Amino acid sequence: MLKINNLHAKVEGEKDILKGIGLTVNPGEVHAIMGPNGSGKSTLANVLSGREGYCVTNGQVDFEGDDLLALSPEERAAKGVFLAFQYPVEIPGVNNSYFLRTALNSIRKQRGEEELDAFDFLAMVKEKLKHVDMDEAFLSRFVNVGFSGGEKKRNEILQMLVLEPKLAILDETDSGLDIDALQVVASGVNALRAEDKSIVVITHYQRLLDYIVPDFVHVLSNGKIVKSGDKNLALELEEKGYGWITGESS
Amino acid sequence: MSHIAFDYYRGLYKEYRDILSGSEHSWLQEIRDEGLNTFLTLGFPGRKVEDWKYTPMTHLDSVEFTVPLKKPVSKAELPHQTTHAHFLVFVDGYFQASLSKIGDLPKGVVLTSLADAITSHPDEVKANLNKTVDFEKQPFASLNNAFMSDGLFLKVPKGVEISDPIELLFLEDAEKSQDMIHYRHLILADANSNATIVEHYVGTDAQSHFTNVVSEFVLMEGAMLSHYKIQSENSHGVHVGGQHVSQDRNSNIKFFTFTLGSKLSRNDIHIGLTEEGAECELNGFYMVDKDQHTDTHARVDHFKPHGQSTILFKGIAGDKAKGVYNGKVIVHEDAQKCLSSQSNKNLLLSNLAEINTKPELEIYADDVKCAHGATVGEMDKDSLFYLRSRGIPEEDARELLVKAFVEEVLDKVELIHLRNHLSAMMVAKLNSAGGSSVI
Repeated sequence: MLKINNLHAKVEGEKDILKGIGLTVNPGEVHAIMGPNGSGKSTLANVLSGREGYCVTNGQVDFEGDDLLALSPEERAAKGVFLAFQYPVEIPGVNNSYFLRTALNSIRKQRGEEELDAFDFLAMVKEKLKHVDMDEAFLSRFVNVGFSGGEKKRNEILQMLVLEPKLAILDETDSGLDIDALQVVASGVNALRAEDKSIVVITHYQRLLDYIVPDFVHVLSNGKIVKSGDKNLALELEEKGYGWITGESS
Repeated sequence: MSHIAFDYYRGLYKEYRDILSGSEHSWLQEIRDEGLNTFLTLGFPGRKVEDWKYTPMTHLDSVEFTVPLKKPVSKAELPHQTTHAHFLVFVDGYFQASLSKIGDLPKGVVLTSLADAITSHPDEVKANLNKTVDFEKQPFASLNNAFMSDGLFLKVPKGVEISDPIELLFLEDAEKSQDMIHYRHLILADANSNATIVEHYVGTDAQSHFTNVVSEFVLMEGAMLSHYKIQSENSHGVHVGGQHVSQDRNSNIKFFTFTLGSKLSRNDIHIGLTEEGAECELNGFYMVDKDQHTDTHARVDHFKPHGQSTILFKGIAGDKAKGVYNGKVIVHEDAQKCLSSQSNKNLLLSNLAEINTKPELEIYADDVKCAHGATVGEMDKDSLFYLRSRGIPEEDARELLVKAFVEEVLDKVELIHLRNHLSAMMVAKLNSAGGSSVI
């Protein structure tokens, strides 16, 4: 599904942050990418989602046969790539429900599918709300405006469930969440798990992986994947820290 | 003003003075004569006049404007239709009864053209015309005094509510350029009355005009009035509007201006809260692109205690367009316990667009709650990326964010059809630029 080959990238005008990442994600797999601060985790997420200001200096990213890096952010979304943001933005004046429906219908339109009317959309979204334990009142509020940290993250997961991506990338979705919110977010993510869907969980800590159990764990350090393993690697990292892999004290 | 312009306007006035509507009334001719003299003294304002610093008008000196006379109009299709019972159509300066409809009105209401009212209700026109405006300092209002001939006359009697909005269309449909059109509106809202007025200024031709509107609103005790002005004239002309409101005790006005049209436009809104407990709400947006220039000047005087004023204007400027905002709230010595807030927020859609904003507050009383502020910013890149990352194409995402930016103002528009109309006009304007207006 996703093949990242020798990916080098940087923030415009600066030195490379990603220094040759290779990663293959097959359908149905859950991969966790862990690493200390500054290892390049968020840069990887931003490059994959197409945020401006990042510059790929070498390497390729193939998503189901398409050159992902050549696509606009909206085209990536239409192909089925979704990024749950570490810091979701607040958009005053845009109603959450209208935003979700516009997003879903934009994607359906780009795929040549029929758009959903307001009635069918509402029925569908109400069902999805249950997975993230959100009240219907969230739909009529402006996007993320006045939401608590946990509510913003749940709103990200709600968007993911509505848009049903093939590949979901969660960028530090666990940061700032208490244990209850963490469980809600994890159960939302698990609701998406399926044979044809893949998930990449980017996180600093192991605890989210207690709830979203990964098939593979990769350690990112200084812009490269320095070690890969199964879920036990995450436990080992929790116990020992990153120092024994990265060669630094953490 | 130049000698040439001076002589030109004197000659023009001489030519028209005795053929303008109501010229048989000596009191009206006195107002006209005085208007011309004041205008000739003041001339078109330049940069040196503080209020016109960012919007100098001296270049109008060199244009030889002419005053159109009333001509029969047979127009099958109007650019704007209405679902409301009352729809008054004016074309190139004059009321056109055959294109208008006035439905059933409560007893005592007078809804007609100013030209008609001068004949049918001369005493009321005479008693109220020119009462809310400080003409000595206002060149455009003075010029309007000299050449006014038609407009809206509305009188709502005591305790009467007109439930259906009164919709007005001011259409520019000239065959030649340089028409100078002076609308004069007089709205008298007697005690505890209630009415809604919607004014549309629309141009269907491609000529350059100079539209100079003066509106006077007199609200008696407890009167309520909602007023909407939507200006979408063609992008060649000049539109100057002076709106003057006088409010008695416990009266309430909701005043909206929406500016999308004209090459050069200026709106002055002056509200005097002359007695206790009067409240006003001023809202609006201006949206300009290409080489448009728009200027909004709002002024509210709190003269007596327990008044309230709320001002909210949003501005959007793309391409090389310029927007100017100046809002001044003055709380006079006697105006204790009053509440006032003023906000002007602007969105720049291009690097060459320009906004000049200046919210002002002068307080001479000591027990008041007042706030004012202004912002100018670009479209938020993070928000744009967020929307795009969810599959919304860039153009749609920009449109969504522009709509979101004015949502706060549109939300205050109580007429749903009008809110939709404004939203559609905005989107059409945003898209008409073909992407060149955006960054």
